[in-house]
Formats: sequence, structure tokens, C-alpha cells
Amino acid sequence: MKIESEYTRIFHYCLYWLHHKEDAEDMTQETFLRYLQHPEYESHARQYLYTIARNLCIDKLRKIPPDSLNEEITPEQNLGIPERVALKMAMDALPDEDREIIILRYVNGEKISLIAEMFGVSRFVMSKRIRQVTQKLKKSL
Amino acid sequence: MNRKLRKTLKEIYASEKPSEYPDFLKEIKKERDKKQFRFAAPVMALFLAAFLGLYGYCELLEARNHSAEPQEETLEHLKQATQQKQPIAFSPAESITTQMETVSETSTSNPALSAELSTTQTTVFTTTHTTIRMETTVPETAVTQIHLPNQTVTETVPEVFAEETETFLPETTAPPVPEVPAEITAIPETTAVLETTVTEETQESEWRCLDLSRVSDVEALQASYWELRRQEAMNWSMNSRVYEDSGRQADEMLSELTTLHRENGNPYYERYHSILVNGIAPDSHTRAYTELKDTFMNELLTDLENTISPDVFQAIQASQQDFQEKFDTFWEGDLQLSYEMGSLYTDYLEMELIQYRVLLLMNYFY
Repeated sequence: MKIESEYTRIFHYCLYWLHHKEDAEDMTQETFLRYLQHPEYESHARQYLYTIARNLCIDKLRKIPPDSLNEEITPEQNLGIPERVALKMAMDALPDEDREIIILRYVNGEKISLIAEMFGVSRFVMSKRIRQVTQKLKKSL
Repeated sequence: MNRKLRKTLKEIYASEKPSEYPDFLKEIKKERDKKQFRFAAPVMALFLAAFLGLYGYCELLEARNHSAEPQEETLEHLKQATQQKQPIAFSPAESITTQMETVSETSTSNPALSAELSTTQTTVFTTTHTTIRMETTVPETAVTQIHLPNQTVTETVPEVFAEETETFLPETTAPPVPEVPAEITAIPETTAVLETTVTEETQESEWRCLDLSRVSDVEALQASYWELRRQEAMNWSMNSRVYEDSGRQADEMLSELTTLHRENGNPYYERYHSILVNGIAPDSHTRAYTELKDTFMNELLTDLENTISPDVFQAIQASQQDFQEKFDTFWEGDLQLSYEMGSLYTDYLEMELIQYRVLLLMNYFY
């Protein structure tokens, strides 16, 4: 696996958790540092990268005061792109796990098998769940 | 989720670009790769040396086998060999007749010699099921007289029958028993011992016969069935008529397969069928149903492992692995196309694939 190509994916994943670019970069670097210390992770590299990133981000979130977590939509985004705002709101309304699954599947383009392994369910169950969440998302739009 | 929504999602969550991949991570990666290579290189060298050694040994064995192969004996060859005082190698059929001739000549020309020194020649015929061993006692030093059209050659032949000849005949349904020449009973110095040994391999070959007699047709049918289902999935979003055709053909084939398995009296089939029927019911797409199927599969595998020979079980595992690879490719490839077309199709296909797997396993069992 080429680590350079994975860097952006993990960065976006961290950004989704932390909503803060610098923090996300820090966490991404930390994720890769920890990953490189364990050669035994090589066989399931991407899955381990996500797992490390998620744990690091959760640890980081625990240390951040809740008020600073609210992500603000910038005026540029708000103007002229109502769909985007609606989608963002619909995403925010989803449960955390469902939102994470959508990000992994459609933003990072991960395989269903990998997401299923991360969440400890079968592919059959995961594909059903993704369908349910996308349907929910569409309804709320 | 349509393309537009995906794009918007990416714009929201992936518009930020990270700064460049940090140099210190690159360095760490390089160091780690070097360490891994340092560890891997000697191991690879060791494997290579072992492989080369094994290969050389096999070549040596093969060369020895070639040199030990029995050669066709003719009268002329026999003459030359006796002149050069070399041991003669016989093919099994020839060795019996030639040997009898030699002994009878000895007894008529110099009867006293046969009583002094003697040697035993052993000829072994080996097939998969039977071993036939023939022992012949002959004088160690015998005088051979060979009558040629224009001359008579008389030579002393030492250790003529010292070499043991082994021949592996091709496997047949009935073990071939070579005919013992009538002269053998007329020679007092010669005794023939026939041994029949039932080897352990017989049991395994019976298993193989059992499998092959039933599997070939079903396996071919199922391969076609799989291909049809694959085409069906690929045609899902392209042409409804083609899709219907391939789907109908696949359904017909499944029905044929079902009949075959019923005719074979497969005890697992009825149980599986009931699980499948319950699973297809509209309100049954639950975790419980999935667990039920998994339990069934596990039990089936356990039963197979405890019941059948290890060879057959390994074959099942291999086919299972092959299936899993196909399944993975299919799931991540073609299915993505039909993914947005409706939930029912995914569930349906999943069950079809599981059924295919079970049928495949049962093929080897029956």
C-alpha cells in the first residue's frame, strides 16, 4: 500500500470528525506515525488506519470544549447553494454512526467489505444499512 | 445515492486539501521498509536454496529411475551380454520364460552344479491394489547354451538373475494378474509365491469414484448456472428483455439442479430449502435469518469434516475459497451497478449466491 495515496483519505476522515483543518492534519500525521510503528498492520492497512484515526479523533474530541465543535457554514457556501446546505443539515440530523458510514462510503469511496469489517457486521447487513441511510437522507431532502 | 448528491457530499466533506505528505513520515516509511527487507532477504535466500536443493534431488532421482528402467531383451542382446559377462535386466514377462530356459539348460548340461550354489531372483508386479511377488531359486553359476542358426555359444554366466525388476502397471478396475507359464510347475528348483495386498489407498480411491460418478454433470450445470446469474446481474440496468431472458433460463436451471439433488437423496437439502423459503418471505430480511443461514452453513461444514475423508474435505475447502473469490469480485464489482436499482435485488442475489455455495458443497458430499 502506498501511504501517500492514503494520506488524503485519512485527512478527510479526521476532518469529518474534528471540523478543524489543523487538528485534522495533526491527527492524520499521528495516525500514520502509529501505523508505521506496527508492521503487522500491513495486511489490513486501510482498515487499521481508519481505526487508529477514529480512536485518535475521539480522544481529541474529549479534550475539546463542546461549544467549539459547532461547524459554521460560511457565507460563500450559503449563497447560491441551497442544496448543499440542505444536504449538510440532513447529514447533521443523522446518527453519528450512520453519518460516518456515508462519509466512508461516498466521500472516501471505501468498499462495503472494509466498512463492514470496521463496524463488525457482515457485508449483507452493511449494504442494507447503507441503503436505509441513503433513503433516509433522500427523504429529508 | 445519485451522482449529484455524491458530488455535493464530496464538496462539503472533502473540499479541504491537506498540506503535503510530511517528509518525516517518508523517512520513517523508508527506514521501516529497509528493516523489513533486511529481515526478508535471508529468509528468501533460505527458501531459494531449499528449493534448488530439492529440485536437484528430484532430478537425481529421475535420472536414476531412467537408468534402472528394464530394457527389451532379444536373443541377440542376451548373447552379447553373456559374452561380456554382465548382469542382464529382464522385463517381467520375458524374465519368467527366459529364466526357465536357463535353468532347464543348466540341469541337463551339468545337474550337479545346481545343487552346490544357488541364488534367488525376485520379480515383483505392482498395481494399485495388488502386489504379486515371484521368487525363483537358480544356481549362481550356470552354464547357458544358446542355439543360434549357425553356431553354438557356451558361456559361464555369474549373477545372471541378481537384479530385481519392478514394473508399475496403469491403474485398472480389476487388478491384472500376469499368467504364470506352465513350465514353472515342471522345474523342481523354482517356486512361485503370489501375494495379494489390499493397500490403504483403496479406501481413498473408492471415495474418489463415488465423487466423480455424481459430480461431473452437476458441476457443469452449476457452472452454466453461475454464468447465467452473472449475466443477469450485468444486464440489470441495461436491457430489461435480455435481463428477463437470462433470469428465466437461470430459474429453469435452478429447478433442474434442485431435482438432481433430490434424486441423490441429499438430507441437507430439505432443511436448507425450508430456511430459504422462510428467508424469501417479505418480512424475513432480518439478522435472525442471516444468523440461521450462517449456523446452517457451519453445521454443514462440521458434519462434512467429521464424515468424509480428508482429501474430499480439502477439495471442498478449495472450492469454497474459489467461490469466495468470485463472490468478492462480484460483490464489489458488478453489484455496484445494480446497487441503486432497488434493495430487493441485492437480497435476492445474496440468497442465490448462498444457495450456489451450498449446492457446490453438497456436490462433493454426494
